[in-house]
Amino acid sequence: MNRRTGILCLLLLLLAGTAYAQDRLERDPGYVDFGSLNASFSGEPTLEVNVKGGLLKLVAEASRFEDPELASLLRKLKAIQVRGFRVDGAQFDGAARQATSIARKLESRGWDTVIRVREYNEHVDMYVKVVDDAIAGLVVMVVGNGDDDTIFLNIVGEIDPEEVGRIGRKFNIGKLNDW
Amino acid sequence: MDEHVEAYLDGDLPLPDATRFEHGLAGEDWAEAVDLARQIQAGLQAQPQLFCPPHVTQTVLREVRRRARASWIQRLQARAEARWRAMWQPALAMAVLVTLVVSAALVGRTPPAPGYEQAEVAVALEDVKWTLAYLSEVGRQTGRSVRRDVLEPHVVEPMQRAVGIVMDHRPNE
Repeated sequence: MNRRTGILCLLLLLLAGTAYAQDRLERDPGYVDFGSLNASFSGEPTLEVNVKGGLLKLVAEASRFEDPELASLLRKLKAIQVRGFRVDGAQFDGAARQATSIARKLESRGWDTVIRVREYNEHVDMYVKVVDDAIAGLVVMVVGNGDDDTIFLNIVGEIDPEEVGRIGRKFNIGKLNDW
Repeated sequence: MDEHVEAYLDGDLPLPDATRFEHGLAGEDWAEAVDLARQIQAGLQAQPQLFCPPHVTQTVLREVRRRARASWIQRLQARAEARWRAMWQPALAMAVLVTLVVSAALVGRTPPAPGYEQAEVAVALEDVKWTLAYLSEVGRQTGRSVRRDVLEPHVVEPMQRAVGIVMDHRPNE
């Protein structure tokens, strides 16, 4: 193999690696598929948020002047997905089992448990996926009893929890009570 | 000595050498050899001069030119091939490279963002804000819950009790 052929092979390998690196969102280590949730709960989700790809970029762009800090945070994200379900008392155990099942899968895939709260009428789980010392994904699962809502939340991308907490405190959560 | 015989007969020997050669011939076998050589030379000179027929000359010359031309064409072809090889290999590599870059760009390209209405973007922005606010609130509430239900009853209060016991049993100063 002469030098020219070697260089050509090297270029081929580099390009193949580049093409392979173009992972789809579903293959991202911080992504969690909530597709099975709808079948697990009796009704349709009361809240469904899917902000990703081009829409997420537009949202970041839209908030560039109004809130540069938020825009900066959003630019580092790849997707935000939320599913909210209304769970009555009889469905609480089933919803809790569903959350526990997802939690087990996350743990088996190397996600780290940040918070696990088990109260008689509320379960809270928070998991993070760490890749190369950086958070690549965040999952929050809140299962509430009675009139409380049950929320499954997944944020994909480079996440700084302190930044999320600080920026999140600026916004109104009143919508939660409107469900 | 043979070369001296031939040179002597051809008159190529210098005079001192020729004189010495003639002295050396007396009573030697070389005299016979020189005589024989002289006869051969005279016989050859007596032969009629032959000329190559013109058609043979032309045929030989034509063949020589053909072979020379063939050799020249072969050299030219070899040189052209070497030059062409040096040109097409980088050109082919460049073509393959361009094809791969374009293919990689097409394969890895994310689909173009569909045209979102401004209202959709505004709703998405509100959803994002709400999500971040919810996340922040969950963190705050959980932090409060952990402090109230875990840290205070299981860490702070036992420590306070332990410190109180220690203080109560402290020897009087």
